Amino acid sequence: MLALIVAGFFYGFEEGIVEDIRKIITVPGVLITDFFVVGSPGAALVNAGLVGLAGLILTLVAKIPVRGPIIAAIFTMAGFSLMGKTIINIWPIFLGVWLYSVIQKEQFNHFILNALFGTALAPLASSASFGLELGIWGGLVFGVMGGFLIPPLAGHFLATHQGMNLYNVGFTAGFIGTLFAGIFRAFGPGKELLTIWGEGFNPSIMLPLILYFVSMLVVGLILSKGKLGSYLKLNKEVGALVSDFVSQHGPGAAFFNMGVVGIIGTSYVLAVGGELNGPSISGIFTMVGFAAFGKHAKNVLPIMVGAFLSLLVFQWSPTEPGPILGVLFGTTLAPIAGNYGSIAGIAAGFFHMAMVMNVGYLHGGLNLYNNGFAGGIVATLMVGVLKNFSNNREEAIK
Amino acid sequence: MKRDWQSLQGIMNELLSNSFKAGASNMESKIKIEKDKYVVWVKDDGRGLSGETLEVVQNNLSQPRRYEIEEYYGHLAGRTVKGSGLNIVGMMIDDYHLKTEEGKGTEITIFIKR
Repeated sequence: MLALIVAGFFYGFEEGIVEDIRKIITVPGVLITDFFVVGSPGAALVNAGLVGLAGLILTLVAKIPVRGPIIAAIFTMAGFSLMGKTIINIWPIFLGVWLYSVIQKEQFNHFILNALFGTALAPLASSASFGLELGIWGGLVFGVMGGFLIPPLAGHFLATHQGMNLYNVGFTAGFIGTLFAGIFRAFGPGKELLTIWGEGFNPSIMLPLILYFVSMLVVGLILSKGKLGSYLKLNKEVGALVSDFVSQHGPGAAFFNMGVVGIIGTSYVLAVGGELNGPSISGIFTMVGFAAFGKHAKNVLPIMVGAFLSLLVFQWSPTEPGPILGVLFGTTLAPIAGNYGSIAGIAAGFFHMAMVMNVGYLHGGLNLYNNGFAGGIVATLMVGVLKNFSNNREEAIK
Repeated sequence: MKRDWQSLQGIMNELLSNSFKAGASNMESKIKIEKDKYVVWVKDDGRGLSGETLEVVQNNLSQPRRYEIEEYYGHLAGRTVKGSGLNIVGMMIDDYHLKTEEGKGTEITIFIKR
């Protein structure tokens, strides 16, 4: 996270750090708002580093060990701080989750994952403050309400897809966002979808990004003492929730896997001629984070292939914003490929693209994890059918 | 208490589903609520565990209790499609005893502090 802040200063600012960050924190931040464009690449990276650090400090204060799920949550937070989350709008969500823990008479640290992932709804606060012009208190009230709903509903929605959609809070927040978008629209203000998509950053971003992931490979190799046995074993995991690769295969294998998955994501964007910008890097960072918590090359590639193949027959081009994000974030369905095989994975990727291009209107971009919402619907449908064709008696107990 | 019985129900579901998967034809189960802990017990006449499978089961159940996982992902116990069920249970419990014999069955007792 510190590296992101340092990189931010390296890239520099358009009107100074204070002004650029002020621009970022005063937009509604709904999907798709590229902070590279709204502020500047430097401000977006500093914001991402600050949000990631806030999540990390909260985790350390809560005395929760930093393992797979926390790594996934921190990288997801940092990634989405390039397109929607800010160092300001995440706090009402934390407050809402904390309020829930107080009412339930439970310790807040038990809800840390709900709080970190729950920042998917951060635009709810910004939209109320700056979109509906309800001011700071309006943003606080709506943000707290969103955060309060995350813990009870996240567990509730898990059961529908049985752990096969990794971005479960995205699935949850999709429904919550749909409720609030409906309420907002009912009072009049339109919640039309937005696309602020930066272009032309590839030459300056590509090399540092690849070096960042290569450094993860090196750290992984050092921690594994040059042996790849654990990493190869990791690739045999189904990847369904809960697959904590740090605990199961060690930090070395997990780091190496994060590097590999990061390079896969970056390579895809470059191979199709897509843009490396706030939103697409957000997708890559989220893949990397979840490479400590369920994703690996073997279960993400079929999903990406399926999602890409869909673009050969669907009306959208692979370089458009939605399809780029759909392929990267579609890997939320990696456990489908891990559990039911590559063909099912390709089918999941195909269905995911159709779904993700269709559900954004429902929540009006209030849920940043739109692909988690779409992925949850696809996973629920596919698992409901596929589980009846698998022979449970033959499954090994693990 | 409501949350506790939901967790116990999930753990029991997971253990019984593993007994079914092991081809058991006779299963017994029991939950005891004691002053300082809950005890969940399941016995079956299934295939039993050995080798790598036994090692994986022991590794899963020997994990330290992780409340942040339990609070969120504990809802998956007894509902997973494949693979991660006992892994989740392992993060929700404090101790366990496992007796198993290949071809004869498995008896597992799980302890959860109140």
